[in-house]
Amino acid sequence: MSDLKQLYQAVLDGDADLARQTLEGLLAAGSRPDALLNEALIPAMDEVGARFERQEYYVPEMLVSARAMQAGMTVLRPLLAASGVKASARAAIGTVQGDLHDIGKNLVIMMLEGAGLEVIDLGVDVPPQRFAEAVRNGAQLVGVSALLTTTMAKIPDVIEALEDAGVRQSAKVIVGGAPLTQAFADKVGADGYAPDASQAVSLAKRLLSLK
Amino acid sequence: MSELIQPDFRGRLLKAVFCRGEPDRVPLVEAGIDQTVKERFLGRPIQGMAGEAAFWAAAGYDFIPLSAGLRTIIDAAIHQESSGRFEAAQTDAPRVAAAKRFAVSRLSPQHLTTAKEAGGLRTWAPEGKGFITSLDDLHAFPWPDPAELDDSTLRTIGDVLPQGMGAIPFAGAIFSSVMLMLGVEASMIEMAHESRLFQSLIAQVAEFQLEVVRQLLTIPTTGGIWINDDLGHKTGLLVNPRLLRKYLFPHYRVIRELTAAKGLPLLLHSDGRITEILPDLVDIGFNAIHPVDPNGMDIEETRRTVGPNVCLIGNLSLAHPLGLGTPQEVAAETEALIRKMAPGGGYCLSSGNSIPDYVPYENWLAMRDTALRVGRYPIQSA
Repeated sequence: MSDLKQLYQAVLDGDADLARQTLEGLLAAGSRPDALLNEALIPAMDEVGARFERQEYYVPEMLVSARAMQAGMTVLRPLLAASGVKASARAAIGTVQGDLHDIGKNLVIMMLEGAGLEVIDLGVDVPPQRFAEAVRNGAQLVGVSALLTTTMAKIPDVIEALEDAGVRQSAKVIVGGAPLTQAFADKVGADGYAPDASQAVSLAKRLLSLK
Repeated sequence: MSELIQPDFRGRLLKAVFCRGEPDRVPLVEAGIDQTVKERFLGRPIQGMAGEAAFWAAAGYDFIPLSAGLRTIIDAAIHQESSGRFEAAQTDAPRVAAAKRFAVSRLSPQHLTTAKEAGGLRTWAPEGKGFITSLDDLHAFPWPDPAELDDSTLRTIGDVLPQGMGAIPFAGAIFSSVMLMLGVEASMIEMAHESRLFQSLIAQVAEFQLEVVRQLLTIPTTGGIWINDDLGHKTGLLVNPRLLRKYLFPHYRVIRELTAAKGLPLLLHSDGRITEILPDLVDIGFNAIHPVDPNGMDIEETRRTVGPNVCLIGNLSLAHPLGLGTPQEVAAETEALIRKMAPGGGYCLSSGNSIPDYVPYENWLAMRDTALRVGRYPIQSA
């Protein structure tokens, strides 16, 4: 197995140590950081998403694979920045104000990073204005998470804040979380709804016209 | 109390749960109802078991759900979401108190807080790490003897239950206990690796919970066992069904044998989409599946998959109409659901989860009133 294939496989297997070691070895041997990202890490996370949707991978496998990818990204990120390689798009993801749930949002962030996006984690309990601020700072995609029926009712506030700030047309808005539905997303004027982290990636790619 | 509101645990609820044809009306079931809803309906504060029993009976329910087993320790530590589920007042045995102290001392508030609300913070689960983080923690956890858990509620509730009313304890939760003890994210990592910690913990939890079930089944008031294990998320199972078949379902089978030997029903509560394991649940012998949350499960698809001999309980969406809809929308969806699922029996009406404090009282009442109005058998066509 080539080292590039081994890196791909380490991410698929959720082996963070092997992923990082293999990646460091490849860099030492002269591989370009963007090649490792585009030819191993992103394809591996693509495959993780596909396996999740085929019910071959479940949350544990997705989580450990995302962590392995992140172990590699920790090494790659400064090198990519130094060589002027830009992410395919910038996203800002947060849990809506009043809601402090973390896991769903974190999985979406990891999967979007695995797809090659730069993701700003706005955290939990995020005031609507902070989403607008993120768009002013270049986010092309805003992801809003809510786990409770009470807190999903705050999602329209985020969209209103984007409109008030005059940046609604500058970013696509996607929403997700246990009580949400496509109908709710349509009603509040979001651009899309994803029921899980894997589908959030395909939705984001579609909305941003990414490959 | 009219005939149709009068509780009838055996003639109505068990007839539906055992799929033995149509009872007099569609039974009402909830895993928990917020205290404010219950007190507003009764028109007075609910104090003690008699007050609880008075609410559930007057509202048209046939049984009171009770908490039991390891989850009473875990939930005490993580301050269970205020679902209003009835909790017994407990005088903890020393090792039960020690187990709670162990859990509380290892859970920091920021790990638990899940929402800010006008009334304070809502807590549900440790999302990251729980109170068992290593094999050393597990060895140090002061497991009480299951016999030390306070089951006096179930032992004495018969004295205050209105005629015809039953009681079903939530017990036998193994998967969710492991998930909450390890913390949700940490448990997923441990399960991904099938670590020694995961294997040891689930074995010990199962042993404990099975003993609790055995003890509960010696109490005459126990009307069944309701396992509350959340196995799904919105689009599928949380974990590979291979793990469930290896580490969980064998214990479910033992619980099923124990309940069947007593002629009592075994119910499962699981959030999320659990369609992939429905054949397993049928094979294990579950009598009922709750809450068939429509935000992930199609109840007609579920009926086709489980066949005619498993009762389905639930499917009225907590988000909409119950949480965010109008009473008129709740009534319309309740009526449609009953007309669709109730003919022939084997169906009980319930929310797609529970009735927490954010369900408007009028919406819960609309669901209840509509069920009593249109749920009388034979179900009339619209």
